[in-house]
Amino acid sequence: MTLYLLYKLKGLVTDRSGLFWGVAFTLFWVLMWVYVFTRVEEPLPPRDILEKMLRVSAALAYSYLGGLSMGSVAVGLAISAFASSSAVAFATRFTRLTPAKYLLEDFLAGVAAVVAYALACVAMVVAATYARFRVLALPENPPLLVAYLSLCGVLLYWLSRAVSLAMLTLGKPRLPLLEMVPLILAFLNYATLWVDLAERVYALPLAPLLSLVVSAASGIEPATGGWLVGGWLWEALARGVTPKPPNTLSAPLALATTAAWAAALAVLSLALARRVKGVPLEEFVPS
Amino acid sequence: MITVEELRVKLGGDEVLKGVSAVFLGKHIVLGPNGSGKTTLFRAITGLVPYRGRIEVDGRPLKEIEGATGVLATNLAEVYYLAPVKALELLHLFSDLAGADPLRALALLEELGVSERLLGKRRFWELSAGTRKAFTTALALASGARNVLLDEPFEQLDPAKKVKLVGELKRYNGVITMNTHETWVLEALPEWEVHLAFEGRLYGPIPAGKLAGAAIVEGKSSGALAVIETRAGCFSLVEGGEGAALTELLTLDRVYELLTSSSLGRGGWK
Repeated sequence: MTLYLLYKLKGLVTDRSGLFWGVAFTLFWVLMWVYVFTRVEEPLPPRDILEKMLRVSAALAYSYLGGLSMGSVAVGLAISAFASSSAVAFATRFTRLTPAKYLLEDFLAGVAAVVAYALACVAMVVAATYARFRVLALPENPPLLVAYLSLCGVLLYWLSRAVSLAMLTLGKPRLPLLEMVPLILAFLNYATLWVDLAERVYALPLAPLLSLVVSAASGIEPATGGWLVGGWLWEALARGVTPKPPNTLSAPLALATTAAWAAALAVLSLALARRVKGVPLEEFVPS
Repeated sequence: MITVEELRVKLGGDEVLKGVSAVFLGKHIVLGPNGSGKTTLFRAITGLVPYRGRIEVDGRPLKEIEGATGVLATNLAEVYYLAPVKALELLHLFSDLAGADPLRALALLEELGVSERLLGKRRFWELSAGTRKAFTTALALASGARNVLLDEPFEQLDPAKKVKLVGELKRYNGVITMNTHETWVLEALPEWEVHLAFEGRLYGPIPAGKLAGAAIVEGKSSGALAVIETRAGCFSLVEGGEGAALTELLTLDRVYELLTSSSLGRGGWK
């Protein structure tokens, strides 16, 4: 390993733009979620039921608001890969950062940064929920949660890499919207809180993983979407019954489609990498 | 040693380098006006732009070089934007990757008026253009690489720092190829070899000491050090001629002014 891994990770988690979109912007939505959208009306349900409801609510927040946070980081990944293309071309030739080391260290730093921002979102949700309800809504299965978040990181890393290489292949930042693709994807996934995509959910990158994140954090069965429509979730929880989604997500199929998406994006990245032209620093002012 | 043969580079449809051939062994200056292809030549040698022709560094084809430390260093700014961290961290990162001595780089930077404290506070792109240039030049020289490419290293340095940098360049134990459009370097580095760059072509090499006393005369002149064809006209560099002294121009950009004023019949040179 070289110092590249450490400094790349440090750069990503201390980037002002990343901190604003990945933490400050997300914090605003976390506070809105906990203080405005989470309605608990009198008479309050029994303590154990209330705790379970808040745990599920927090899990939905980790997952879908965390998705927005991770999407923001992926935009930062795309921009930094775009801006450093000339530096990478030089360093892999004339320093001990060989192409293989670069690919490995950049991948690890990128995934670690995505997971770090996602865990920051988890911490914000737990803190806000505790501040309002005095309930510690910790994830039910933390190792599984971290594993799913890491898979989100892998998927978003390859998405951001494909996006930055597409921008480089075009020569100049002619399509500013292109760099926002990961965040647009995160918003599309956010919409699945209200839309049940049923079988089509497997075709939307990230969506099945976010559902698995909810499941790992709350202990309930993963749904193909539509968590907040039809009342199936809250009504069951209020009755002390384990909620049964109208369409249950298949975890193996979700993992398989995620692997397929990651592989497809990696292949696309490698294909685009053959056509890349480096972008000199003067042509790019980082945010 | 850097060898380029029939090097051609096209950028945005324009041919910026038009079949350049040269061998850089020892200390060289690529002297030419802005837009003559000097920086593009360096970008091609560092593998940053697509090219046709042959480039070899220490006898190895550029396209086959991978993970080779101590072979080539440069002060081109774009190769230093590797991670979005503070400039001081970037210095340590590059020192780690290139096997350079960070203390040597910091000492050089102090000489050029850039403090460690400033580098610890700002990211690379937040540095002023002059500080950024000093930063990249110091890192390139501290690498101890066998070949160093310096793109306009004197740009935005005050005269005292220029003198210090000239001293460093003279002492450097390796191949240095430096490009500039400033003609005062001919007198400061008389023993270096000069390649003149005009409109994508190289002319030379010519000893800097000889060029320092050369004059520019219009048209082709027999016995000239170099005869250069440009879109604005043809001129020759002759030793002890009666035309405008090359060093009096200060910058080679002014050659075009002379060519244009001559063609307009306003004189100004022989």
